[in-house]
Amino acid sequence: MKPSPPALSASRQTAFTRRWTSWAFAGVALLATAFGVAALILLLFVVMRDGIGGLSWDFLTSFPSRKPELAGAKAAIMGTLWVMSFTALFSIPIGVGAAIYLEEFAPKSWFTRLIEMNISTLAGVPSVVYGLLGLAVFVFGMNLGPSIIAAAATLTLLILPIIIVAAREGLRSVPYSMREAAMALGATRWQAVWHQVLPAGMPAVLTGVILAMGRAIGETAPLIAIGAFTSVFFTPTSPTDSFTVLPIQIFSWISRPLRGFQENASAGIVVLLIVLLLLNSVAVALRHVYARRRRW
Amino acid sequence: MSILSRVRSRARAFYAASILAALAGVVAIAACGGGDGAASTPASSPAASLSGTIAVAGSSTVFPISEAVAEEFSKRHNGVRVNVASSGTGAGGRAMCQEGTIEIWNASRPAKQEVEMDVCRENGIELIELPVAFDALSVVVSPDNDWAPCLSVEKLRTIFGPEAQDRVTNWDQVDARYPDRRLRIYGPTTASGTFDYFTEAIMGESGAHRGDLDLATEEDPLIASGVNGTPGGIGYFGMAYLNQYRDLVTPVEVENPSSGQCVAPSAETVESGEYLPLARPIFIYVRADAMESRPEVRAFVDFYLEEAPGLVTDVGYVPLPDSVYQWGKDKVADLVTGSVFNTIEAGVPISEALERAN
Repeated sequence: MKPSPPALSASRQTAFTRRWTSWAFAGVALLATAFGVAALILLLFVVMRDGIGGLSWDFLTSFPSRKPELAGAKAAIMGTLWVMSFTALFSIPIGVGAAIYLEEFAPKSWFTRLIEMNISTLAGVPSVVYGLLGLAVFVFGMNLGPSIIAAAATLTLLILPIIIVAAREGLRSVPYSMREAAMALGATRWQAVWHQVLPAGMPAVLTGVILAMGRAIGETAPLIAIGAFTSVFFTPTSPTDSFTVLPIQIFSWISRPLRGFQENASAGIVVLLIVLLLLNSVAVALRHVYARRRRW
Repeated sequence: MSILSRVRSRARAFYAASILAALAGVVAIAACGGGDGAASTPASSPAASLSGTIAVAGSSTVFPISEAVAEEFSKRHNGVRVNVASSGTGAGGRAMCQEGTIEIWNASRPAKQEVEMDVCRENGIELIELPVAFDALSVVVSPDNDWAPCLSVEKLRTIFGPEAQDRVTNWDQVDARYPDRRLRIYGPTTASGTFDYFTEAIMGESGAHRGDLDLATEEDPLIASGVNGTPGGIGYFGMAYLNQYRDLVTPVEVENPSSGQCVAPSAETVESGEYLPLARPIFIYVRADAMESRPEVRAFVDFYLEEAPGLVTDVGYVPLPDSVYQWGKDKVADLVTGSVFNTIEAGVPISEALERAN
């Protein structure tokens, strides 16, 4: 038997090594994915195990109490819903508006580059810094006090960069030919954006909004900085009312020694997750509506 | 690009920015005006004639008491909204004296003259000082510890003091009669009022403490389980939590520096003034002008002093003697402002403090 030529054996070796490297890399990537999924499953399992027992109608409809079995999250749930609603009301129009301007109208000048750089820097600023800004500007400067509206304005500043960046990417994903086609038919730039580009980019914009709202709903530090209360014994009736939110209530329960409060904290986390999923499901539903409407 | 078009594009960018700003303003104003409640308003009870909002903020130590009072008060007076924040004594003082955003300040120590009382006065705010409960600390050891049932302040200083760092690592260094056991130290973090109070009372200087703890945590259960798990363990936390962990840890008696007697931590010894120096009064400070002009604040503070003994016990603190609550009620009635306790060192019996005040 003739020994195989050295060149061929070398190339076989290479092929084997190359395939093996490829498999190994896929394995590592799979492991990385599994890690994230496992962490999520573990989180859901632990939270559900500890929290589901504490969930009851009374828990959802009671105010805080010194007795863990009587304490409920009503004020915190309503506070979270109020704050998130106003945050969405402020941040979505401003964020999407800014994205439309930067993506569709702004000339490529030093000024827009400066704005872009500012936005990406703002996205990385720690949230408590926004809290201090909110304290100075909204609570004292505009004399809003530690109110829902001040909280929503502070959280809007916090999530605006996320929404702008995501919305810009969404708009950029719409092929440029769409704009050209619209304008070739006589549409103005504004009509092309409003009737074609924005609806087409909406699914991606909404994904950004979901991510941003998820960030905002879990924030504690900036709200404590603007003077949000811990225990509130009423549900807000106007945006200028004081408030508390679920993360603050949960944190307050976790730091109590009585075991019953730990259970309340877990139940509060479950409620927070449910509220978050509800808010997200609205956005997901909207995304589907827009995605289906797209005909190209 | 010509200069003209560059200027024009800059102007366009400016217009767009101002349109966005105007839009934000319009949305904000619309939101302010459109305050129709999607949420349910609390059902008003026939007894509720008072209304208004009372803001309480400050110490996390006092927080559970004020929260309990607010809970009970809210049940009786539906029209009054009481908000309680757990922001820390210092932050509460700033909110009271500099920002003027709260009516009642929870404080785990007396108001400081320069930092708070003077600043308040400069801003035209006078404070009524009301002690509401005793906060007592208990030093705990492992149930296996049969050699140190009682510790003197000096020994606690030897164990926890800054000089002990990296040096005192064994029980036989604390006292030659103690066994050769590794010393394991558990305590709160430097951020806590418990830490401040312990260092003040034992070391005589706030913040003086060794830094090489085996575990420094804000979670009392972790201190209790840590001490429980190590025979040479020692730690301290609020006495309010002692009953919860009685099966895990043994409370240590502390030698009263003036009488030389070993005193166990208990409600009785705290009230009698024997359990010293690890028991202290904690306070609320009320704005005198709010007391005068706002009936709901007045009603809340009266309710606070009336219900405090029961509620304080509920949340795990030690009530003050009745005479002290009565003293507070008299002060409230006469709107007596200023601090008595900021000139009194930690460890002075409360009866003596009151005598000095009068």
